[in-house]
Amino acid sequence: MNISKTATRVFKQLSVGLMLITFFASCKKDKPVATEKEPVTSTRSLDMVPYYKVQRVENLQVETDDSNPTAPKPEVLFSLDYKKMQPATYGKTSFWDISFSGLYNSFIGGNNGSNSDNAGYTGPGAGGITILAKSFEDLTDIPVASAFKTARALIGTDDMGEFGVGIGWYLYDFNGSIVGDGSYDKKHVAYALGNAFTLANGQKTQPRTIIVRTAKGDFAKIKMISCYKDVFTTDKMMRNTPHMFFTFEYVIVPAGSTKFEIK
Amino acid sequence: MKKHLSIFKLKPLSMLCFTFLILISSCKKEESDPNEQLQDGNSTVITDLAGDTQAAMGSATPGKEARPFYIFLFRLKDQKQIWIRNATDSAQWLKGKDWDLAFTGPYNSEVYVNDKKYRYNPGFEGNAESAVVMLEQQYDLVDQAPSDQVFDASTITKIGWASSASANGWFFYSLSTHIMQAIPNRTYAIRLPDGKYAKLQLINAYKGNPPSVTDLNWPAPYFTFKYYVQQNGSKNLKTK
Repeated sequence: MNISKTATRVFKQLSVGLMLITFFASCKKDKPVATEKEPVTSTRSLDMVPYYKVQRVENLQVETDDSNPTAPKPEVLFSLDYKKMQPATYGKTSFWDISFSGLYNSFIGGNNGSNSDNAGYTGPGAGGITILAKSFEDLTDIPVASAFKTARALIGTDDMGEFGVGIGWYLYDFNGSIVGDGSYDKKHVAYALGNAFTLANGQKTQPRTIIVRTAKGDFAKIKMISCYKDVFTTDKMMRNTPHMFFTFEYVIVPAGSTKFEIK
Repeated sequence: MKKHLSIFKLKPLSMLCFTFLILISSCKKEESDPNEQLQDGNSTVITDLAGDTQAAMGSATPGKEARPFYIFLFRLKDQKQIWIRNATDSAQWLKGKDWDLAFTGPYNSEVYVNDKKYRYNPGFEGNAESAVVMLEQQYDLVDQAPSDQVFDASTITKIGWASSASANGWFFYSLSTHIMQAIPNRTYAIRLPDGKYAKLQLINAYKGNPPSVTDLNWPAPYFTFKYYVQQNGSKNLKTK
């Protein structure tokens, strides 16, 4: 009895082990680049940022050309997990979570392998993106899966400003009179909406928080703070302040979470 | 048929005249009247509806003031254009059901349907509810409005600038040339406040509906658009 029980247990463990090996082997075959272990619990590999801790990225620079702003610039890939920009050759891997593309690289999308309008198309990315009219602090519930959209370049200009495309992460003040005083320096300014601020008409903006399902299926919320170099408050954002230098804060929680917790 | 028959009854000289007339008119059609092709006998075609041509983006130029563009509203049933220039206009019109489209933003280029639910809609907290769905289909080929579930699920808040090919807007905008270009094969199905279904194509914001504009000073905004409202309440939007 004892012997056969032990044998069964050993066999069970073995078969689980075998299954795991088979699983990893098959993963390896599909994705030769992704040799690291995928996080199955809340332990993270050391070069990734930890879960539940707020991260801040300052002055993430992307190329711009003010004399020819609509000429397409390369899409920029950024990994929330590794907290760094990734080369364009990583497009079809899960080593990036958000991309910046479109006009002034100011439109953000997630990494998704099933959407043909995505740099991650045919890759392993399981990500998506959405945005809510809530502050970073107040946004605690993770939206339902269907809220996440999978194309590139989805979140950008907000309807509070000119050329708004729904709810966005920034307010574009073409005339300089929505936020500014209409002076030359305040025209054509893009104001990140992560923190609320007061408009020229005295009203306060509603804050915006981006929510990302990462390439690996975790969740992140992002507060966009600025696209101007070393400038984090709206009064100092001017038409000729060096741009695009993204500053933002974010936190990642594991897949399956229903709340954004900060611990 | 009757017309054709009567032509054949005419004498040779007048026949010749007629042939000339037909020739001339057909030449004209090819050369300079893109608007004629827009007619399908069922849709309403609006050509060169002047927006706020007195406002200027950036700095004031002769005849224009540097100020935000005034909003105008448009009522589909009788083509009434309603201007919102001040608080009195706003109070009188915005929250009512007497408009269907609002042309807002720079060059009046950003179009809202009358909807009380969306905070940045001119009709916010008013009395009308509408929904709009973008169809990547030529106007003439849109025969049917989408299902109500599709309207209900639509996240389109306005029909304006398309920041990318996958965005829902009606035009691309070049910041270097400051020229708007309508996106072909794009039609908007609308569920109107009275529950009727309509389709809308926004065609141009430049005077005369030129196929393409290279001159930044081309007169604008003058809107060319066409639409059809199915009066019997069904989803049939066939116009051609």
